[in-house]
Amino acid sequence: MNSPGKILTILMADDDADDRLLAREAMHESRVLNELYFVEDGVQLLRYLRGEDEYADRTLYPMPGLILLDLNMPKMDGREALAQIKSAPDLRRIPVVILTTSTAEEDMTKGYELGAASYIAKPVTFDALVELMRTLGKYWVEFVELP
Amino acid sequence: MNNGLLDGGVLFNQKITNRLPNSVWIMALAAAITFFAVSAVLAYRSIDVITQNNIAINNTLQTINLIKDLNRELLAAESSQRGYLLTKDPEYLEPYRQTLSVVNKLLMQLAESTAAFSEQKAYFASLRGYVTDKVGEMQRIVALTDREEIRAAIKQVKTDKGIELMRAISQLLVEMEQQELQRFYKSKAIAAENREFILMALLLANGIGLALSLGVFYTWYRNSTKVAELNSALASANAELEEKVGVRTQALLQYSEELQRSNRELEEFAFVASHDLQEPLRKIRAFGDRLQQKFSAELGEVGADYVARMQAASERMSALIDDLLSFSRVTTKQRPFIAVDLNEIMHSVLDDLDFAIDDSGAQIHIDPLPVIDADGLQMTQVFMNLITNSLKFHLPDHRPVVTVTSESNVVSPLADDNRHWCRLQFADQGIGFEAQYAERIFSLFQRLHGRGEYSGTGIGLALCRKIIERHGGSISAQSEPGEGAVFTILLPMTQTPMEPLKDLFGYVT
Repeated sequence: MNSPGKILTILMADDDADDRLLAREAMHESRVLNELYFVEDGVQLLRYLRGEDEYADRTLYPMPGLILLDLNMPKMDGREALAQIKSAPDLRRIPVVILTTSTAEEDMTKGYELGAASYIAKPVTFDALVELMRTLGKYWVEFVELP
Repeated sequence: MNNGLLDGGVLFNQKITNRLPNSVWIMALAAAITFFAVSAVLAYRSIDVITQNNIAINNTLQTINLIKDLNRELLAAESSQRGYLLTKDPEYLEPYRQTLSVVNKLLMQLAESTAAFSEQKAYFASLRGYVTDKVGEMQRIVALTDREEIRAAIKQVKTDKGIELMRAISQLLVEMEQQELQRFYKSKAIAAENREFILMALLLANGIGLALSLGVFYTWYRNSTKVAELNSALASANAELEEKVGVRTQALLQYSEELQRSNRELEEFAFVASHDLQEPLRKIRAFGDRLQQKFSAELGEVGADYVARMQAASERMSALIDDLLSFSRVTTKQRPFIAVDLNEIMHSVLDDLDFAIDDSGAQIHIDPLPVIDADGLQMTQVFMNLITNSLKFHLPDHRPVVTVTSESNVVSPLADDNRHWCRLQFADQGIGFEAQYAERIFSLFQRLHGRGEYSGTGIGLALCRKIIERHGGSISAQSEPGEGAVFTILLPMTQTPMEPLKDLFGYVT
């Protein structure tokens, strides 16, 4: 079991600047000491994970313990990025939580099929977002054993 | 188009009738029958006359022959008897005996052939007398000669009685022959006359018959030509009509396809738009929350009120968009119809509304409901909306009272539909509404009350109607202010899979 107070690094892939801002604020409000990093599309996400170019420095861009993935993004969308992550032997162990506005059933099914750990609809109110960030931190840090 | 065809048919019929009325046909037929009957009677009569004439002529010829035979026989007997008298040789008597043997027969035949004519009968009576006398006289002379009394025989001959008798007989025979010849010429004249008449009648009959035949043929030909013309006119009119129907059907199919496409596009648009509209709205609400939480001090009372109103408006807009989404989902996210027990649906709806029912102290009476082919989730939405409405719009200081009645195996309101239908009625004793709004309440986002009085977006009944219409049924409302409202749903109990439009028209395009 992870020791309490251990910091979880979360990488959020979302093209929506507002959502990134809200997520950062919610994380702050949740008072969970997790680190939150951002990428804006699927291509960036994969480059980050593979440590390419500017992401080579792992002190600035540490490997995440959890990925929050939006489905609808430019260049490479969340579905394809998820598929690539789950087919890369060194990346497939990182849990991916889909956080999206889409409530379409086929998106949900596809997401789980591709290997998503959870599928969560973006909360409507800020308070709900704060609650989500708190829960995510607690769940993945305190209860889940990761290799 | 149909009417045009019928009119055309009537027009053609009238044309035919005008050209040849039935009475003309009947008169022509009557004339033909009369003519042939008269000709037949005349011809028969003529043939009868000719036959009679032939019989008369035959009779005349027979009579003349008999007269000649009788004359010859008597002359032969006379000379035979004289020869015998001179020679006393019995051989000479042979012709005499011959005559005696046939004379009676000849007389009988003559009597027969002259019996029909009174003059000849009179002549014959005298002739028979003379012949009998003559035969008697000859027999006396022969008898005297047989007994060798030659003198007495000669004396008898010398009386000249025999010669006188013979002369009288010849005279009578000549006159009788004359009579017969006269009648023969007369008959011949009559025969000639009749022949002429028959010839004329025959010519006339043939002429008229020929004319009639030609007339009939001409009329038939003209009519058949006319009928053929009309038929070809009708055929071309039909072809034209068929072509027009084809073009129309094609246009209709295109129109229908276009309509279906535009409908589909509209529904997809509504779905996508409502989904995408939620996104910025979510942000507005989230940052509104931030404003309220982080900057409440800076906002002050008035600022906080503004933000609260903004948030309320955003919330309402969110509800509207959600409603729009569910409205568009009635057709974009439809499930196939399966047998659904409406009692179970109603039960689950009442379960969901349990709290609201308890809270309002509502009285709810539900009839046993039928099992019908339907989309269960959508029927749930309908029941939910109707009962929620009744709970919501109760009279102030009165408990809501909802009564749901059901009638199965109702005759279909559609033509050519032998399915059983059911009628469900949702009645309440609430505030009701004016009859003039009975249709308007089913329109999207139509409300009869201010938001301050009753909450809601105005989607409920529009959704109900859309769902019921998707099931091929109908929903309507009757009410008076303060008298409660009755919502009547008519639904087919069984659903047939939708036929493609093309199959419906029977056209391959």
